[in-house]
Amino acid sequence: MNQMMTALLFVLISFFPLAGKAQVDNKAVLQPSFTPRLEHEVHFGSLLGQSGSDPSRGVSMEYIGTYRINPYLGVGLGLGAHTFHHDRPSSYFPVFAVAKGYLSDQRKVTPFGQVALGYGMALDRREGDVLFLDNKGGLNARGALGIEIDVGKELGLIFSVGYQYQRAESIYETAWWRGGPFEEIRKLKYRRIHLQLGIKF
Amino acid sequence: MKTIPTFYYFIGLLSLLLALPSCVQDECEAMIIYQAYEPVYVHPDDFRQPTEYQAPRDLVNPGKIYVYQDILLINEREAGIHVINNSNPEAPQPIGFLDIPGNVDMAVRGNMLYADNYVDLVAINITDPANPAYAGRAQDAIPHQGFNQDLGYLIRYNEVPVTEEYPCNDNPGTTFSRNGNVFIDVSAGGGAFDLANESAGQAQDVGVGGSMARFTLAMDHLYIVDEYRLHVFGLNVPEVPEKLTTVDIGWGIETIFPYQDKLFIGANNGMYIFDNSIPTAPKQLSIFQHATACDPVFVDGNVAYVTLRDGRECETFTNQLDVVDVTTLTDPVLIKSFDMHNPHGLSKLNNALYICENEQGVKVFDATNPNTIGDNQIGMMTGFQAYDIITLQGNLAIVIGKDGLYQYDISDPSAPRRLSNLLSL
Repeated sequence: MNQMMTALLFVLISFFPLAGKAQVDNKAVLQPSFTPRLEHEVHFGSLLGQSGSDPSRGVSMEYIGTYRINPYLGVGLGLGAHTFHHDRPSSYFPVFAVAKGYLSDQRKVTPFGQVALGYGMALDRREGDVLFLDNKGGLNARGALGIEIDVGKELGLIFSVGYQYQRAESIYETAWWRGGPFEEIRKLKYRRIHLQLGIKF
Repeated sequence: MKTIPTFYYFIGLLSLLLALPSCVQDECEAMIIYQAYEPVYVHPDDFRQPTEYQAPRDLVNPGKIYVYQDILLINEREAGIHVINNSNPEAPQPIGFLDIPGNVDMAVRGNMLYADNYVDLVAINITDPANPAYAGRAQDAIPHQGFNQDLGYLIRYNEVPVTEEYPCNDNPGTTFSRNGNVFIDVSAGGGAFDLANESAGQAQDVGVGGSMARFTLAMDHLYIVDEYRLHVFGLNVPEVPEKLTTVDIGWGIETIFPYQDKLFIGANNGMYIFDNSIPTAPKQLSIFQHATACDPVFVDGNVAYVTLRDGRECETFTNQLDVVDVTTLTDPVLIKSFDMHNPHGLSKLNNALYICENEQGVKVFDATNPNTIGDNQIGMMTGFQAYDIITLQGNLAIVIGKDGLYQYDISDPSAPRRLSNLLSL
């Protein structure tokens, strides 16, 4: 947990220059050449980590709607679908708020940093003899660094690498041959590297 | 416009990369509810004594029932036997209570009552039911679960629920032991083993038990089944039964029912048929297999009636009546199965089959046609929980359950008439 916080802290530190930049270029913000706008992003990604002693992979799909306040800052909301695997696959559907900082504006390649906080929802399901009585989601938090590549009029490619944290709780029952079901409560914390590729329009 | 130094950007990225290897490990903790089974021991010095006869006491946890002439014997689980004068079924009279710790079953032959006393078999002379006399004991006659030199015989396990948290990958599994206790995941069920069942013998100097018996008398011998084996006792010396032989059967043995020179043994996985023409050497003829369930058996003529019920101790979800053609004993054939509620003991008298259906009481079926018996319910006895039943010539039905003892006049099977109800003594 401390190491995660350290990582997130460094990500946040990387936004400090953005604040300075905002002050220095105040005039630039007010220049009529930038118009606040709504930007749409669709991402596909991999969630890489380790579950037990084995490597584990998951996939992600997200949509983020960002309101670009100024050339250096945008805020928005997103939702997505993530899969993880620990003994058995689980899917969560995060809904999150996002803040995105850009190191420059109107360049072909724009570095950015992003933090998001939200809640990953889960769905009940049955898998073989296992019934999830209650599949609770939990806190979803992430940070990422990446670049946006302008490829045309209001169209861009996005590459990012980040860190994803998802909490969840599962209560499930299993039919057992000795005459009845039993319950097990599992508390999970997924910690993954999040590699994403997306488009912006 | 000065470009922000990109090294800030790479510092953040590098820090992420450095921190990640130790941050990308998933964490999982599981909370599992276990049943801990704490062993209970009894020292021989505490029970290996002459049995006492005490004043009548209330029915608290009745088990098997047994009828011998005008005497009704009701097992008080793990405690002893209620003795009741049943010469007038409309007004049964409690006589006394035989204090027999660990008792769950019984049988009577020639005025001699045989009962288990933990691991021993005691003989009690009931010539005068008001003054039963301890006659003798066969030590270590009943198989036990273990023996400790200091503590004594392991007689059961007490269930103690335990909730523990484990890292998911360290789950010890559904069964494990620790410090002498056995832990079984809640899914394993558990519960103390019920060694009690009753069987029905029909000889003149032999009493009559229900279909839930594990003791039975046949061919002048006493037969006792445990979970895996059949034990044969000679009664040449009535006061001290002598174990003659033990026959391995299978697993999940539940009940024993003698019929002529055959033994029908109910087990979790089926009904075993033994040839008992040589009483000291029962020989298996066949097995009628069914889905895993608890299964009392009653045999009449060429038809065996087997009830299968669900429940944690029975390890299944089946509730039904199986009607089996046993004309060819080496090849029993299922005639038909009928869905039931939760059948326990059963009995048949003339053309009526009586099935104990737990909290639904007793259901009475027309047994004229085995192919349609389960579809022809003709009567009911309701208002109580029914565990086992004995039907006697003279049109008397005796039903036992956790609500007490009920006796019915079954002259008209479609309209059983309640004679008496013994809730407490």
